[in-house]
Amino acid sequence: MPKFWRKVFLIYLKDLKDEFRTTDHLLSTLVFGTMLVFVFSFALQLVEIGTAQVFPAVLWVSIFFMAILALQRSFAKEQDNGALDALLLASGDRSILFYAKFLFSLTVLLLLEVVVVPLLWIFIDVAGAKANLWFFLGAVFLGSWGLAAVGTLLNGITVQLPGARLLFPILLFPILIPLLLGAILCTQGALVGEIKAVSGWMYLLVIYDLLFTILPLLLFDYVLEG
Amino acid sequence: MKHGLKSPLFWILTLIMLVNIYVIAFYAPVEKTMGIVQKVFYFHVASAWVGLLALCVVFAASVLYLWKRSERTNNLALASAEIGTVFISCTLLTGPLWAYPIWNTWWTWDPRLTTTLVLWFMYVAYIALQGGSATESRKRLAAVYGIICVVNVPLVFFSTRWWRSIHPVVVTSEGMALTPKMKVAMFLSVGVFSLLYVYLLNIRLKSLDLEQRVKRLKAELFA
Amino acid sequence: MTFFVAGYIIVWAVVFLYAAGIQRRQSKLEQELSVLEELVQKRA
Repeated sequence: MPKFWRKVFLIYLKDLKDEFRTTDHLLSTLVFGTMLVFVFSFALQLVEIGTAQVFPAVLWVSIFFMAILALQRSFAKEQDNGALDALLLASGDRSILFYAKFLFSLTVLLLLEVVVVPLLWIFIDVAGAKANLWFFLGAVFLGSWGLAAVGTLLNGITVQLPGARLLFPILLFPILIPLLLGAILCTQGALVGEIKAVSGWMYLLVIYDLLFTILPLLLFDYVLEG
Repeated sequence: MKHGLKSPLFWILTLIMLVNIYVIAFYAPVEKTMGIVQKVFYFHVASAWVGLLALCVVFAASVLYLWKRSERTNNLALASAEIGTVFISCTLLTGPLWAYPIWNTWWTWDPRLTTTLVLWFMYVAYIALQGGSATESRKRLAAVYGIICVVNVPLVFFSTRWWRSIHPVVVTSEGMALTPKMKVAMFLSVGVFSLLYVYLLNIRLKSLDLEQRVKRLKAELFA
Repeated sequence: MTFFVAGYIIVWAVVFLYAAGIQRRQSKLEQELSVLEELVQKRA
């Protein structure tokens, strides 16, 4: 077992190093996310909606869109020169590759959120006096976890279909509906400081995350076969 | 088996469909408060049932495909998904026709409605994944996605139900008790629609088979 | 009444269109198949 996780960790490190060697993709995703947040808050400002109330919804929709770009990277960068086959040979187990890519996606997503979430908070001018910050961060973390897990699993699928870039979000979004629901309600509860009322949704997030972190153990062998 | 006008199943189906319509129109009583609009319900429920049945078949066929790798199980999954989409579309289209006069809105975020819509999206995504060139990898990946979808359906349903039961319930979705005559009409509709599903599945499987035969012949000829 | 009729028409229309779609594809394929079989016979 330790050997398994050591391999996971090695591939994860390789991916991170690789990502920071040429930061252009990470940076463009970040710029995209920033723009998304800006456009959303600006549009809402124009119609004078009580913007603080829409914060959870805008936050998660922005994260979803940003995630499409961020998550597509995980396997796409192994496409050239048969790198995927080489990695499979080196790791020996396909689920090792899944967990490495999952951790990588989660890291990238969290890095992007470190910039984008505070920015949205400022743009929308959330009245955070009663907010429970730890619960909020927990919701963002668990939401990103699920997003990264499902995204990695489905990216493993779409990356093998040439010319099917557009398929990724189409496959992704219906599966993410329970996560979207739980994450938005948790965020809302955290903002108004009523975490008791929404703590059940935290359990939903945990169950969802666990399910889609364990399910690839059974399914990922079939995804990357051949 | 023969298909088209020569198939006995086709004629049996036509006959019992006419009987079904007659039963719905004249045998089943008109509902007291909702009036005649309630009769949309028989088709609505029956097509929703077929949508779920088709999903179960997609799941079973996907698991079987990953296990046995036969072309037929993949065909079964694809055909079932297509027909499921057709019937879920019917459910989604007939629902509002009933909801508008009764609930005074075309759409509410009732768990059943939400789940049905998400189910429709998943079906469409599944078919998009299968679409294009039918390579081995596409079939395998579609089977994996089919399994993921089925795992997701209960999650969607229970999370939306939970969400709605915490919030004040605006409308109770099924405040209708059925009289025995209505039950007869409903079960007949469900039966007829299941048969229709089997019939459509059959002809779709045949056309998929034909497609693959043509493809093989072409490959042989132009190799 | 209009809603009721509309509901039934929609269901029939959707199912019919799907069946017609299959039928069209089928006849096209059958044509193609006969052409191909002829070709095979010529070759043999």
